[in-house]
Amino acid sequence: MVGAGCAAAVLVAFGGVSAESIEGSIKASPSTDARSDSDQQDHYWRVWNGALPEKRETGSHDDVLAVLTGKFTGPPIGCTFRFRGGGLDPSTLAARTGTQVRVENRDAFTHELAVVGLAGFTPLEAGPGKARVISVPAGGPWELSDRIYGHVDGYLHSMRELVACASVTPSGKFRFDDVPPGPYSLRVLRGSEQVAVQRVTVPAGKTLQIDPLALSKIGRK
Amino acid sequence: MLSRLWYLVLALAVGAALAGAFLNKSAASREADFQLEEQLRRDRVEAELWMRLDARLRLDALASIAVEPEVRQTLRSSSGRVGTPNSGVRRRLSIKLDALNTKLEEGRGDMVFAVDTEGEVVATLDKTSPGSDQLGKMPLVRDALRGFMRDDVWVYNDEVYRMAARPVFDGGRYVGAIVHGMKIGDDLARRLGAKLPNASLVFFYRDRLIAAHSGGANALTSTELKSILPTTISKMTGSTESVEVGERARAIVAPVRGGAAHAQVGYLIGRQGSTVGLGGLFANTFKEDVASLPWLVVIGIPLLLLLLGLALLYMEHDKGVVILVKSAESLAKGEQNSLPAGKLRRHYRKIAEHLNEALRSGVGFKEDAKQRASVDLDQILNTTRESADTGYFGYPAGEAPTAKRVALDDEPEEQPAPPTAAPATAETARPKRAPSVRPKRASSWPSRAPSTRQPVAAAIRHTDESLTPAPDDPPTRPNALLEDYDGFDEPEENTQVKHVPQSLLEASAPVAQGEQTHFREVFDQFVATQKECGAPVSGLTFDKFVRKLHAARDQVMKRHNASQVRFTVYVKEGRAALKASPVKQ
Repeated sequence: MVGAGCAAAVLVAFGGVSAESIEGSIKASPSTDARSDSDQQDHYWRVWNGALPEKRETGSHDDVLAVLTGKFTGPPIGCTFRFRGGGLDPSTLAARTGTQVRVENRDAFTHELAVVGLAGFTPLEAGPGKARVISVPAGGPWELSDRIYGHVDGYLHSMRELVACASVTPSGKFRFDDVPPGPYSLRVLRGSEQVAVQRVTVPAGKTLQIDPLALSKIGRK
Repeated sequence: MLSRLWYLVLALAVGAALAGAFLNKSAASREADFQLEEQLRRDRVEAELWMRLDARLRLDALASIAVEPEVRQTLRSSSGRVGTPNSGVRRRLSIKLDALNTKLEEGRGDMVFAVDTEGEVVATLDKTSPGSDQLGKMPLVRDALRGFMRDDVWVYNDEVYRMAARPVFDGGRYVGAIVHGMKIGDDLARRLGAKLPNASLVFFYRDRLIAAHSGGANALTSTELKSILPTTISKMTGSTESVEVGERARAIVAPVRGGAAHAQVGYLIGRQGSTVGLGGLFANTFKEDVASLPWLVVIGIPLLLLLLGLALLYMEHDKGVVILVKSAESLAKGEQNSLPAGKLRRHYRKIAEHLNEALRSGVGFKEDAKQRASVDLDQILNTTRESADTGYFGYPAGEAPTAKRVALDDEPEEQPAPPTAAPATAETARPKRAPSVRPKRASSWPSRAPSTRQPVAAAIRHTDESLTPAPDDPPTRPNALLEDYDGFDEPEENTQVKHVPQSLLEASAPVAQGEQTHFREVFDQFVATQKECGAPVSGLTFDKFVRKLHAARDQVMKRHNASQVRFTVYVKEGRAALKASPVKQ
């Protein structure tokens, strides 16, 4: 966000263009990761406590990423990614083609990020507070994993005209800050797919409110 | 043929026994490998059951922490809020967690977390942990926050922990979870190894051993197990087959049950197998096994086969040899004149037939032909002496052509024909022997070396030294005459009385003359022959000569019950020699 702010400041200073925000939401229900429930090899015991009923999973949109693409040459805004809570946050990553993306480890334990099929990237352990930098060529998306924690997964998208990134809260809302006014394409990525796309024009001087986006069940890679 | 067949059967039996032994060895080896593999599978099941039970015990032990009021209240106050409680609250809860964890004793965790409903770590034993840890995306924590008690295995900062988590609820709602972890180390391996006697056990994280237990002095070492890690890790998932560690040793690998399996955390159980060699086939034989053997068959059949083999051997070989030996002895003794080929079989029959043929043809040793001639002559003379009882001149008494027959027989056509093979050595011609089964034998005599005897009727051979006998010389000893005639004093010198041809006997036998006249003629012939031979005759007097003749005459007459004895002179080996022929009335 700091980078995005600097970029907006540079744009304002040299282009005389104000930095605005985009707020939107998605209409898809939060995803629940039931993989661990179905994988019987992960435990000997998984039993109900016997006192209270099972708590329904609130779900999350950790696997959803909203991005803006358009004619913008500055550094991508808000495209920072991390390990947190034992997984990628968010698990869908996007980076401008030909640039680098950092994945910080904000957990108290080591992660070992791996990018499947991406030449030149060697999985290495990254301790707490460390980060891995991925050089993103054209192509993709690439599957991300953690060689230590099998439940960690994600995808990395390489986008030629990436402008900004915004994660989606468990309630389905997202927000782009410090976006220069102008026409963009608002894309919603989930996993390896693009599940929504909408052309937007960010007006100067006010926040753009976008109607909730309906996500297609079958996305487009 | 039967004995050869028996040898074939014996060879086949030995081959079958060896093949059976090696097959049994192979089968035993396979069985041992199978048993070892099965044992390792059982070990793995046992280990899984033990770790499952251990996980349940840890889950149950966490209840004492989850129900603690301070824990519940702190987590309740933390849940639903953005961020974590202040450091003071967290520090107090951490102290409380430490105290509660200590009470778990053997189940004491190496790390314990208290997390709120957002998965945020509120308290922990780790004083150096960052202030805003989050564990909400870990499946174990997520399940615990939903109300499940669950176990797992984590890799946490290069260490491997057996994890357990259970929810914390307060006021009828979930307020968080307690996460408990015990480091996998040698203590765990030892406790688990105690359940697997004689088995070695290691836990590994990738290519690094994190816990090890040896099953004993003869068990596999952790180093040996580590050596197969690269091979086994690739087979860790979904494979139930064991891996060969070394000589007769195998190990089975299994991933840990939990998320750490993704990070190649697992364990190896290794066992040393038993050696199965040819001798090892009986290593596990019990007394009951030996007692249950069908000894009648085990001993009886080989004994029966042995007897059968000996019988076949006797029938085919020993029997023939015995017959040959006995027949040869009889043949040597003259009790039979051929080998009983009809009683023999196969090769022995051929041998007997060939020998019989050789006997009929008189085959002898060619290289000894010359020597044999003289030997035969000596043998004849010796045999004549030795068989004097049956015929003083070497012929059976009944067969010997006596002087009577020779001298008085008026029917020459009935006289035994002179040896056909000795026309040039008429002096050696002897009366034809009784009909022999070896008619060809006589025909072989001409091949003998030419004799030095001259074709004269009688000769006396003597030496100069022995011409004059000593006064005490035994006067009447036929053998002395025959053997010692050569000077009458030397026993080694033989004077043999041989068969006298009929014509000579007729010419020399003065039937009408007196014995004294005959002796005189013999003396004269002897002296003359000696002179002709160039031998000295000085010292040889008629009286001495006559005394010897008397002695010889008496002896011959006594032995052959003859009324007269006629002496003839012939040349032997360049000297005069005498022959005595009994004349029966």
